[in-house]
Amino acid sequence: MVPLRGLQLLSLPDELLLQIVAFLEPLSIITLHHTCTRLRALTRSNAALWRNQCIKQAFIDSNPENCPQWNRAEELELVIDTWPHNDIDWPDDGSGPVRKVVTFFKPLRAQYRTMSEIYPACTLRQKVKVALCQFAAGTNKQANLNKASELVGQAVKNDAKIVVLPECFNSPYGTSHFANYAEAIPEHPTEEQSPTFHHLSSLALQHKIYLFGGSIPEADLEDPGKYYNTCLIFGPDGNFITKHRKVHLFDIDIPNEMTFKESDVLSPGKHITMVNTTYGPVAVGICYDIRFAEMAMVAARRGAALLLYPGAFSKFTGEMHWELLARARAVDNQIFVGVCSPARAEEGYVAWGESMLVDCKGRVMSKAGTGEEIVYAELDPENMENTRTHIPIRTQRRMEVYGDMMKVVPTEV
Amino acid sequence: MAVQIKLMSSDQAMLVVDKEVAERSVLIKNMLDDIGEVDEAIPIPNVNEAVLKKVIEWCEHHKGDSPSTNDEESDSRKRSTDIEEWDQKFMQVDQEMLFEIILAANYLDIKPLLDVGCKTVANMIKGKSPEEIRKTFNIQNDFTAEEEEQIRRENEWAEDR
Repeated sequence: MVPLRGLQLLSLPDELLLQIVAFLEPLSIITLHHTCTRLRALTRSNAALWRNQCIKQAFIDSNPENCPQWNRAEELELVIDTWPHNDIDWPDDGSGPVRKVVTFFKPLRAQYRTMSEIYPACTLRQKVKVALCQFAAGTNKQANLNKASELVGQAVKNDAKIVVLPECFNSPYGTSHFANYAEAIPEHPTEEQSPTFHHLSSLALQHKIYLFGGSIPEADLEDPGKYYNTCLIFGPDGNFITKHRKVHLFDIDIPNEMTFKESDVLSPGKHITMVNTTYGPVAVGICYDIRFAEMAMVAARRGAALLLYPGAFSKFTGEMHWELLARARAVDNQIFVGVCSPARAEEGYVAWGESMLVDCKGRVMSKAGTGEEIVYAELDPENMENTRTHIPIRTQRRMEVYGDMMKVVPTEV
Repeated sequence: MAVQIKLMSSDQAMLVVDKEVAERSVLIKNMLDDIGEVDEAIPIPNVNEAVLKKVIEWCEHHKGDSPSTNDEESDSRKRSTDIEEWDQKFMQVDQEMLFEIILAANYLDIKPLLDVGCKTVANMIKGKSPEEIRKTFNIQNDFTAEEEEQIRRENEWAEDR
């Protein structure tokens, strides 16, 4: 070590060192925290500030551009780690966190270790207006696409930045129709393979919006005869971000009311889908997926700010559960929820309608009737932050009591 | 002709500067406002000639700048470590001079110069490992073995695995 001489960094008074620290981004502050005792103590007093910044940084780091695996569950192990500084004595002056453990999202590594850490108060980065376009698809695919263009254009005129289409918006809903309307969707489909893909891409680009293309029947390119119920998602640059294949197929048999068996024709998707938008991470499920609280919870724990479910509930199940499920997913996870239905048709499959947006407290912000309509709501980070602060269930879960759900064996009673 | 004033450095060197230039320093400006016109040299006891000249060079270049930022702007100021080209060149000095300038800017209350100095140091810290920072700034690693172990644990999360 060179002998100390002359004026150097550590000659500066604390007050000036702190001014330098103020120009550093969180990771550099942490590095500084590891250099020597004096800088360690100095940056510690700054704890609350950089703790918040670190959480923000972690979200920025988890952007799909930095981390393409974000959207691909097969390559993504759910990663939630405890923040390393859990053994730091946080200042008692109220500037530090309430508890000593902070959660960090690390998209690519480690296992889902524990579920009891603290989550950031809010994962919605900024206010954003969301539009759900409720309309019924007819038998003419081109007419259906034109209808989508018309409504998306109208939604954008009203300042929507995230626009959602209903389930099965380019074809009639019904197992007999899927094969006729299905399109193959490889990474870069040709115009001929998937006209809908290209239509949605240019719509997103034209209006510079995030477009969640409800769902369409997708044909498996490698395995002819295999179909999926698939949502295509595009960014404001018109680029295809990812697709969600419906995970839970709608096989239901209620005597004298309705019977529907999607699995006759469709294959299930295998992944939870999440898209990291400028406004915050958005997760997508399709219709029957909404009944599975686990899927929503995992998405929320990964940081989703908004859950979108294009869905065509029937009149029977819609009346019973459509609003209840949307609100339940919202209130369980303190997250925004949007459910986008086709308009109620006169013939064929009669969808429920009533597309709606629900806030983090589980209140319906806006709701459509049964006809063709666009519903809008502005999502506000304050709503999420309030909810999570006032009813802090996210920090009060007792995972050590619940244990590993996967290991629970049904017991006879 | 512009009004000129005299400054006396800590090592007794007399420097003559335009009043407008010297008033980039809030300390000197307040002093002049208090005492009015003076013929005598104003003593700057904490700053030597070399550093004072350097500071005056900066004030000369920036004499036309709008008055220093108020508190509302300070947030956006903090967010960026961008330094304009002239200032970057100006700050290409050895570390000792750099810290002298920071101390002088702080003492003379020249906020924009202090910011440029702090940003320059911040940029020297960015992207370095703790060991590289120690090397750059001649910092002694004075952690105990126990603390080292704790730091190693803190670091685990950041390593690419």
